Amino acid sequence: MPPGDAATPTTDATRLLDAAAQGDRRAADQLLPLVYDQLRRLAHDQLARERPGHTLSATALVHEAYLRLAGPRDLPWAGRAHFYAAAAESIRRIVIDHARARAAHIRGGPDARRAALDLASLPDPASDLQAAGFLILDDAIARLESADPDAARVVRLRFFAGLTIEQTAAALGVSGPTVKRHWAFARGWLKEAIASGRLDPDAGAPDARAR
Amino acid sequence: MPEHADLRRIFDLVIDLPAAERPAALARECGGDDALRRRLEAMLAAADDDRFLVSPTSSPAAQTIRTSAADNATLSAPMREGPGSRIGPYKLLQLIGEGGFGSVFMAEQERPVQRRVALKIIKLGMDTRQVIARFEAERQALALMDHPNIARVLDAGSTDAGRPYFVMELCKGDPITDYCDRNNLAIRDRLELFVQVCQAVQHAHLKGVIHRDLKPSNILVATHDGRPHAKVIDFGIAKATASRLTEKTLFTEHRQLIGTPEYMSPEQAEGSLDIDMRTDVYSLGVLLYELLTGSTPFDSAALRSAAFGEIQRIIREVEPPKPSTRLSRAADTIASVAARRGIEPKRLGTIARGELDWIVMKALEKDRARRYDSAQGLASDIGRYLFNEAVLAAPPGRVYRLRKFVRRHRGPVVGSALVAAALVLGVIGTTAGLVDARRQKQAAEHARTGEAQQRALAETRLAEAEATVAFLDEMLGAANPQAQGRDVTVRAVLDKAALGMPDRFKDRPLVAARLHGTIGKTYSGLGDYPQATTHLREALALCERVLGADHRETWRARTALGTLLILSGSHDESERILKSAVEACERLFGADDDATAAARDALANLYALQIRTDDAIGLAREQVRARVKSLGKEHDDTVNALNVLGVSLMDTEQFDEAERTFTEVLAVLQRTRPATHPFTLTVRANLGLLHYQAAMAGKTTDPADYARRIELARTINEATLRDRTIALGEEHPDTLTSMGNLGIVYKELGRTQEADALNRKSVEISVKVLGENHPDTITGLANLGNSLRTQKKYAEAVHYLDRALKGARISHPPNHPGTAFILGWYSGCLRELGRYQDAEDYLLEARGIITRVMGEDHPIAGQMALQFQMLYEAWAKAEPDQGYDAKAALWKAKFDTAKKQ
Repeated sequence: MPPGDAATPTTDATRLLDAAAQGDRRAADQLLPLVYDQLRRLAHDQLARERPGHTLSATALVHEAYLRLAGPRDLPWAGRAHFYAAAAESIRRIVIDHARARAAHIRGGPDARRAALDLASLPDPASDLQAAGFLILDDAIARLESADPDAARVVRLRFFAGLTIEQTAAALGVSGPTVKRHWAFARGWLKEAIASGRLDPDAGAPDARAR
Repeated sequence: MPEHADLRRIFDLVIDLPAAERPAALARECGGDDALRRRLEAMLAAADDDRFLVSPTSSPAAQTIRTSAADNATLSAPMREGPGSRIGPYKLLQLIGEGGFGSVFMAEQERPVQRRVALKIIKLGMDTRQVIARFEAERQALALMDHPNIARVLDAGSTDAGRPYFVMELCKGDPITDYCDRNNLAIRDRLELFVQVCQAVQHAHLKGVIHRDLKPSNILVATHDGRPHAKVIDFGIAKATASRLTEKTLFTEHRQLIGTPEYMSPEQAEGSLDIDMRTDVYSLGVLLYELLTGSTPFDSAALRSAAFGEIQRIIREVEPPKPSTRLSRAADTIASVAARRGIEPKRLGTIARGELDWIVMKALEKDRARRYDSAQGLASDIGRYLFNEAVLAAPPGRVYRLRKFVRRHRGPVVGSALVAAALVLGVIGTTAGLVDARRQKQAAEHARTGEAQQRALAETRLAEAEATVAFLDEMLGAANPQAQGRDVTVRAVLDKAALGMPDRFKDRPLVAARLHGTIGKTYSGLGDYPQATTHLREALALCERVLGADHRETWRARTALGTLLILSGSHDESERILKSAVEACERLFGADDDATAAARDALANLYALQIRTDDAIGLAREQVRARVKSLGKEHDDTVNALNVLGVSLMDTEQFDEAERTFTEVLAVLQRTRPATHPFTLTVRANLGLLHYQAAMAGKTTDPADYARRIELARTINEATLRDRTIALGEEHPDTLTSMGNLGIVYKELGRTQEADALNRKSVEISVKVLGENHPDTITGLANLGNSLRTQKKYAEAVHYLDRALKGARISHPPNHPGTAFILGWYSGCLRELGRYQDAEDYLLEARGIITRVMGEDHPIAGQMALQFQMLYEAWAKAEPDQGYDAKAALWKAKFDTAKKQ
């Protein structure tokens, strides 16, 4: 890695993306920290600069991170799959970090659960309650993953990386209708699981123990 | 999990059915399992819920990573008014904005005239009557305002639900910062646009109206006739709606921030009732800051996460970084910030530095008496800047002229970056003294203490400082920038300064000391160590004479001399000085004092250079810890300490940690310094060396890693040599180091010709510039000798190795591994030349050093066993029956054991 060279991260990411697209698992793993750093910097940048009433969507963040890391090359969506998986995970971690700090005093509890059920999007960084809700939701997605990994993958790409149905389908190499079915199931499963209290540690429901 | 499979199968089946057919299908598929059926019903309902978990893209309402702490509809009462509602004579058409205050609608006024207006409904629970009363109080003043850059406020009233509302001229446009960024407005265009805003604010001030809430979202810009046109909105509204700032008014009961602390003046933050026009000047200063740098003076996120008291304290007390400083720190965003201003990142910092910094900082003064006294004053100074006239905000007198001078002659003066930096720093250091002295004089006069003594002291200082500035002025003026090459010019300036010194400052020893210090450091930067030594010794002598042996300045001067002696190769004297400096500074000023830390840095540097690794690593780790704690991760001194640590780690073959350390340092430097800054180049060179050493260490055990690292070592060293030659010149000691290092790598790669050419050249220059016994010269001589040895040119090799060894005996501390290498190579040559006894002596000495420093089991010790074996085998052949056979066998056994490990 030549030092002091501003272009280095880009070069690295490009190489990793290519390798990952050709099935190199280690490259895919190495991509995550790069994407994470880039997104965190972008998000931080936004947090520092944005003024009230100005918003930036995860989609825009992810898109900008892609441009910065991979450059303006137009990879086919399938080739970008690893990037988006890494991006979704990065966004999740960024928001989780924020939410943990924010919601330390109101984790769990009925208010947090209600907030989770009201989450239309990533939580408002200023809201402790939404942060607490988000933690519950994230936990639920993890549970879904152990039962139904495909559905969970769709949730991550759609919800965290902001991909459309079509983009998700292209990234996962499946059909649009398949993604739609996973998406509908995942949302139903998650909301029902949270609302019913099925996931609470003391609920004793089969799903909670099956892990 | 069979249960999940069922769940999934039935869900997929039923979800595709029309709602009417679902119950029957569910009943059929679930059989008698009521729990399963109920669960599926809930899931199906949830899947149809279009509010839960819609993805960030699929709903316009879904906004993420949002900082709008103010905008939180869930926490305040829902607004009943919406498009179609009627409020007084206004019909709401569409929502055009939302914020902490409430909502803004485009509305149609039907009587007395038909027109479109903007109608703003305040949604907070405030006392509507009071708001309206306050508005009425200012209505007349508002009516007097008539300016093309001000949106008129037309009316105010209360809705049926009892909320206050305001009616304004409808303006189209984007918040000024968005507009500028979206259209990539250049700095000049931004400034001109900003002047429009100042003039609007000035107009309002003349009519007696203070805005109190100037911020980008209240300044809308649209393109009119191809030019940006600004409109300031919300005049009169802040006064009517905002009561005095208290914790209650800044936050809602849910701790939602409703104010805009980024733009709030210190007196507003204080909650003062006495607010005047200069509060708007402050907010304009914040806006200007943001237009230049892309961020507000105080980090929004930090401000917004702080508690009320902390927000107040930050705004009232914390001095924000100058715009140019902010830009220089924002390495990861500067590219995009600069791009939006249509300019190179580097140029952006340069433009901001100086006058624009001063203008912004004057507008942002905490004490409003020191701000511009009007928006017009601010606008005028920007006008002066745009027309290249001296601005009012500049510090007075010669200081400014001097800086202007440096700027005009930028080419030659900045020619050699390092030297120019040292010179300018020196100038700033001394002129800062001038400003200080002026202030002291004023203070003394002002206080009318009557103490003649104090005034006299202040006057002496002022006179000293002014004499210094005059001297520097003359010195810079005398060096004709056009006539000579760039480095020559700098040399000429220095030489002239050095010559003029003694007479000029006979009566002002402290000024002389400081100038000797600056000149000495500048010579040191140029690599002229003898000249540097003369001046630093003089500086120290003057300090000792005037201030005494234990004054902090005196110890600093000693540390500076000790640091230089490291470079010039006088390690013994350097160690003596630096050790005493660390000890004395700790005792006199404390362990955390700057002077102490500086001395410790220098000592750690020396230890690292001498490969006294245990001393060095301990000291360096302690330094890093202390520096991070007191100065933060990115401070120059922290970075320097990290570099020293990296070198020590490298020398103890902790390659991974060393690499991480260097990489970390480079990451910081990438943000804080240009890529070809001498220090950056040093760290890059160290990284190159690290790869070489790591490659060699793993050559036999990990061939793939060896190949990778040796290639990295080559590319890094090549780049560093190229950059150093350009930035520092061919004769600079740092450049010589790079030449030597690249030579070693070439040799390892079998590119012997190139290696020798580089080595010969570096040795030749090194002897001339640094002297025969300088550690760097010794290294060069040794490497050249070794290269010739491997080419079996033994006689020639001995010539260089002998010189290297002589130098090493003088300059290296005992047990220096470098000496061991020289001895080992020398011994190999002597063996080939048949001088067995000498070869044995040298080899034994070398082995002694290696085993003492690195231990018996070190691979190098193993390698040496092979050398012994070869020596005794050759010796046995030349002198059979002397027992050398047995010795050879013994060493062979040792070597074999070592190989196995």
